[in-house]
Amino acid sequence: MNNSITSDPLALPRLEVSGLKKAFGGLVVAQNIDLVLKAGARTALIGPNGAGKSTFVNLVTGVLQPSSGSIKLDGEEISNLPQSARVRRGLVRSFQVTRLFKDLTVADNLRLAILQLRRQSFTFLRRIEHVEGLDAEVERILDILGLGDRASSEVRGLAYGEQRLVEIALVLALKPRVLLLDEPAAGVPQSESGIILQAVEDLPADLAVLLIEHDMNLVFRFATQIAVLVSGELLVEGTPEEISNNKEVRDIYLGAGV
Amino acid sequence: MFESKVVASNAVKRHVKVPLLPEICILVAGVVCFYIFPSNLGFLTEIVVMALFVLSLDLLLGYTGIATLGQAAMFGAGAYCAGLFAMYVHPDPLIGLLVAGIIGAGIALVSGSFMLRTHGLSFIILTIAVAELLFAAANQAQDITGGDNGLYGFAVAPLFGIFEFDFYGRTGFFYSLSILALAFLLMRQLVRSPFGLAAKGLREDQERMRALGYPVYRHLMIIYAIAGSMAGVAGGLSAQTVQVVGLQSLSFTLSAEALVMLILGGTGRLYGALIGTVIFMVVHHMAAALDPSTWMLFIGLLLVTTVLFLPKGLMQLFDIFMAWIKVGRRSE
Repeated sequence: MNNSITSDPLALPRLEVSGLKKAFGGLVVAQNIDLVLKAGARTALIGPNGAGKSTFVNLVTGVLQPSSGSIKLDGEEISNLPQSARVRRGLVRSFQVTRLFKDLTVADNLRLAILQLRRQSFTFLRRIEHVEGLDAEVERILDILGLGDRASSEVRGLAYGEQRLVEIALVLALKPRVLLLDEPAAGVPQSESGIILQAVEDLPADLAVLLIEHDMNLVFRFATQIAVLVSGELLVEGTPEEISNNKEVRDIYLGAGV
Repeated sequence: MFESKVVASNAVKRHVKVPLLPEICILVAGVVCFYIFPSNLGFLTEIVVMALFVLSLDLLLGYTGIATLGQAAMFGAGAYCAGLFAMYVHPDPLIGLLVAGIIGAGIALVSGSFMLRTHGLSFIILTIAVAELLFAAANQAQDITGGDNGLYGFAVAPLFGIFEFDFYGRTGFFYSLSILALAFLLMRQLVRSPFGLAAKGLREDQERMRALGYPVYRHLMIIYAIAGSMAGVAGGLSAQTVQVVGLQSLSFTLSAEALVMLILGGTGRLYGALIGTVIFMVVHHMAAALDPSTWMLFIGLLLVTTVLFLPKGLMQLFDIFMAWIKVGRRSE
């Protein structure tokens, strides 16, 4: 047993989901899901519409309570923790449809994430500009994503592709240990999707990433491991090569096209 | 910091920063009114107290997006407590005000502990219910509160042992005005702090805040308690300056009127709470003097006109004016 986070051998799983099951009354929407993400993992979770990908994300992040099974983050059981406590331990998700604070500036969006990470959101009487190092960190993250000149713009006024980048910036600002990346390029016009893909590829190398994605081009470009979810169950998991050669997957999901 | 790149280059030259400028303006406006309307100090004090109350509502509605129709619960509780405290425990006004603030926060924490787990309409209905419960309790407990007759007969000791609460209400007025200025300063600091930014985040999207790892419920509780203590202090001021506490201090009408004042002035910018209160109270005062039965009509017309043409409240006039000046400067 190793509960210490400081000694983080690469072999130790960051996220370990086993025997996960969710039923609403008699309706089983997810079962027999086992998944392990280690540091540096680039795993994609694919599956046809209605396969239970969103349910899986909601179970792992704590929006839904599983009927049975366990979810471990850095070796510790987290399935009883509320959503925000899981985030504070480093399990972070992004949203498929951008959920940003649209009436606030890009900088304020990022400040919110950083203040939480530093546990400074209960600072009452200090002006936000005077919080040490806060704006430097905001600038650092925005520069990584090429959003430096957008800091004082309201999110509402940004192009959709830029809003997707801010979504990624928010996630990065939380310095996650495990990241659930939900269709990062969904709805982004072709002309802007290049910068999103670049941002995804540039994610910190040791971060464990689970990409929930429809777009097979993105999956095969990004993932070193693919898990296929069908009707709420994990059908198969393997390398991209194995998955694309798997007859069952081809029949059910990929069709003849791939 | 970011603005500095964009705006500051030309703004810095024009604006010399005066610290505490808004608070100084409040005090100066108060002093001016004191000399112009020396015989209306009671009414002026009422405006100041009400402004403090509406300010507490702005923290909830304007900054955090919590719509409530029961803020009078905390105002009334503060008022009764300040009165009873002066009567039975200690006549000092500042200690009484502190007690009123603590009671306001306490009521907010107790009622908030279950209400803040709900949202939207359920929350609003619960806020009304809590205030009505307290109203009914105050009405029943006639031996303590005086019921329909109100609570009276308590004396408040001179402020700092020097300034007596005189018949003309001079002490009461400047006392309330100073508390308002102080509260305004605290609020300005609060809304520009990390905690204030978190409040705005909660206003925009509570779910997203949860996904950022924020303990949403704890944040809401603290905000509700701060607003509750401000409302309690306002109630305490009202009790100490009028020296009577009536049941209307817990009434639905008070909660609703405060909301109207806030929306009239404009939410989420503090100044709107002040402007809205002053305009509402003055129009009310004058219209009621002209014809006591139709004053509501004037207020109604004012509100409808404002909401239709200035959806951001009367403060929008200020924005329009500033934009107009900017254009004028550019074309020079």
